Amino acid sequence: MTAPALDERDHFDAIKAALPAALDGHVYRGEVPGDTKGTDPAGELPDWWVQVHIERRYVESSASGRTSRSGWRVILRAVDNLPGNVLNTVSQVAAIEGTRLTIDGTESTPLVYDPPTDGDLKHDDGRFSAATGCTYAL
Amino acid sequence: MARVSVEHNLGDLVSDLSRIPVDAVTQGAKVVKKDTREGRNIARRFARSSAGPHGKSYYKRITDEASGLEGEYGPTAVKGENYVGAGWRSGENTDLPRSADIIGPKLAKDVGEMVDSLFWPSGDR
Repeated sequence: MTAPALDERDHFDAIKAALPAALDGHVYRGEVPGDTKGTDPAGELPDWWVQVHIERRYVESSASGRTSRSGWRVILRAVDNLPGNVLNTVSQVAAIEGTRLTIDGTESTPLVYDPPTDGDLKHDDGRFSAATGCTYAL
Repeated sequence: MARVSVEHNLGDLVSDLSRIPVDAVTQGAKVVKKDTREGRNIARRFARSSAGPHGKSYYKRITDEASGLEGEYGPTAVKGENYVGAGWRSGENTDLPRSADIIGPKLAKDVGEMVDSLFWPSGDR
């Protein structure tokens, strides 16, 4: 039996849907539009946004080497011109903790708080950023 | 007629049980030190594999330190905010969390085996 829902794009869609509505339109995975060092430098960089990083996480498999569960880590980084706004956005993003995502017809375990080690508020490439994170399994 | 006489007291058992707290600390420290070093090695491998052209030596910053039943590993200095590879444009660095995913369960398993071995000092089961 293979682990379900391995497409990160499906995970991103579910995470976006689970975030507060106030963040709609400001959540990106990968590049941010207007990033002059990205592949889509046209246009302006948003005033603020939330960057989502999703990656598969190692989960011990059975003795036969197979696993029916897949582990995942998500890091959500708020970027803004003002540090106070960054902290407010991170507080809103934190509401995702404890929720269950439905991805590819499979319900995940509740998202468990697991922040990145460099998640504290900091200067970040001309702006400010802070991050929080969660882990879950499908 | 043959006769079997068995004489024993609880002295040996008391002696074995008395050693458990002492051995738990010394053996536990060895486990922590070994797995902290292994965690560092795993994190370094991730760092080397994800390094760009400006970060070829970054993995050397990841060091470890263990004392008693505590250990830690990670980069010795916080990455500068204006370093190449730092910042929102470069994405998230997950060398340490990924290494923790591997070394965490291993440490738990090693500690469990160590505690189990304390009750069998001679190795017999």
